[in-house]
Amino acid sequence: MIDIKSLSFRYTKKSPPVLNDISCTIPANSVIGVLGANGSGKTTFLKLLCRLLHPTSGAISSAHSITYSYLPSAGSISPQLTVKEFLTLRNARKLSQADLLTVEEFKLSDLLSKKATTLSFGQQQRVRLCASMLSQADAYLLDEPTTGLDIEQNMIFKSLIRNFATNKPILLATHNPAEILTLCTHLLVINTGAIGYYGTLDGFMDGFQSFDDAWFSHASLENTASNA
Amino acid sequence: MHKILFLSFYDLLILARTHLIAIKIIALVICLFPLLGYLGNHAQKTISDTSPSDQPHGPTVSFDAHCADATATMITEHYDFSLKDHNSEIVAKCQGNNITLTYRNDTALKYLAKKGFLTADHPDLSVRVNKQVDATLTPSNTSLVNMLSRAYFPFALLVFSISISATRLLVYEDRISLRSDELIGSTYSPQAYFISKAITTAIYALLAVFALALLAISLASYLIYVAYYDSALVRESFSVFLASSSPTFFDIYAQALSLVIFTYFIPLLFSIFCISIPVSILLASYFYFSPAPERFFFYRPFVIFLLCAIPLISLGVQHPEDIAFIPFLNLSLLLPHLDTALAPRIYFSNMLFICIFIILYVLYAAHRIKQLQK
Repeated sequence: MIDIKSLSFRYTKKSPPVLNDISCTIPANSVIGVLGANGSGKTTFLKLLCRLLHPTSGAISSAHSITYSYLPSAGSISPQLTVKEFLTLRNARKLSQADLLTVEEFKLSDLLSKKATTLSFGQQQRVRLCASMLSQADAYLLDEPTTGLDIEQNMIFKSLIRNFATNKPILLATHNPAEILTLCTHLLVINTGAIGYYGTLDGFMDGFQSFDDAWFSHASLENTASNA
Repeated sequence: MHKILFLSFYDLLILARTHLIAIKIIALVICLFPLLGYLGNHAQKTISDTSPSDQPHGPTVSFDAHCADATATMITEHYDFSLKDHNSEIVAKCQGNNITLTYRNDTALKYLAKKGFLTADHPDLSVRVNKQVDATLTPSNTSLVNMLSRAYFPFALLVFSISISATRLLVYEDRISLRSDELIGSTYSPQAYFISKAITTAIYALLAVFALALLAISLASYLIYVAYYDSALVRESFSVFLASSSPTFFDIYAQALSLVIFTYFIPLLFSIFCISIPVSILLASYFYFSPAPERFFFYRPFVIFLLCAIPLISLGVQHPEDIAFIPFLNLSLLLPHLDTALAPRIYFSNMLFICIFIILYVLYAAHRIKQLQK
């Protein structure tokens, strides 16, 4: 469980806050969809969690030390390394038999000896996702992880996420409603740096037939509240 | 701790692999030069094959050591020409630092006049030839200008290979791959990153010390070479070798390799350690700490252009064998730049400069060939 209390962040002292007074509790065994418009602060929130950025104020705490696996939306694999070398470097250990099974699940076994420059964008994304899944971290921070994946890989990714989610929190920044509905247990909606909604997916969808209806309804409520 | 070592190891692995491009190019050049040397000296073999009785036995004329540099250059050019033409009535012999021209009759004097030795511009020389004054000629390659002109060709070669690798390793690869949020955010801390970079830097510092030692050796060798050797002497010994024995291909290769080492490789080492690497690292360091390291790719062609213009500026003191460098210069220009990972705009600017270089060198080659054919 991760406790986030009054988390605020701004890049410079003079710049406006990117995140403002965010408070929530991330339970173990949950998949949290982090939603928001472009530039709303989703990526900043994930970077704060894994200590790539330091909060201007507020605190992130947990009962014990937590290791994160962070998958940025735009990353790259060194063109000088093979897939196997990248997976090894990314996790700072040799690949075990169990790791190779996961590699097989991502259909990367045939690509292990290939260099990143020879891979398509989708294949590179699979490699990065696989590396993230192999990391044995305590929590996963995935920023738009399915970008560039084909339908089959999307399905594989979802099934793997469900397996991993049995005992570890996963924060999934995405714009894809289908992913949210099939994977997420909770939703964190960030609206211009502040929490627009935080709670269970069931609570978000309560009384609505589709995700779009729920989304627009919550958005209109937020606008009404902010206008008032 | 093991994570730091892990990161350092992969850092070095990436750096080593980046350097492979340069190593491959240098290896290619080293492997091809002997063949070129063999082809280039094929004409020498023909004159060396002629029996001693066929050689002209006229009066011997040696040129004064203190004649003007321009005159000395012409003599060197003439020397090369006479070796390639066994019907010439003039034979040049090189003993130590002295070049001696032997001619058979007045036709030879006319020939010398045609070649520009006996002109109003060089009355002293004209008189001395006519009077058959015995004097010595000190090769002009001891001059600083000539020394630099020799060093600049391999220097230009290296700018294309080493500098590109060095800049990549410091700017491009490092910034985009190992220093990514993905690694630091999940597996390695920023502290681990900086420690690993310190380790990598320390290893490279050791290599730099080694390089400096090599520099001292190569610089000393180069100075000795400049002081005591003339490329003409080396080439003549090569032609004598071809004529005096029945060499196998490997003999020729070995002999040509020694020719290359004396004529090209020592200046090459000199230029690697003295000029190319420091310039590259300085440039790369500057851009590494700049907010937009990718901008280096826009500046690089201009830098290369400036550095490679220097050999052309020193055109007046080049030797005919310089033509041999032209295809390699072009090749070395092209290979590192054929990188599809570069953005099209950068790729286009690189290709534009490559085309300019090729045109300049082709013009230069044409100029030299025309000079030789006179």
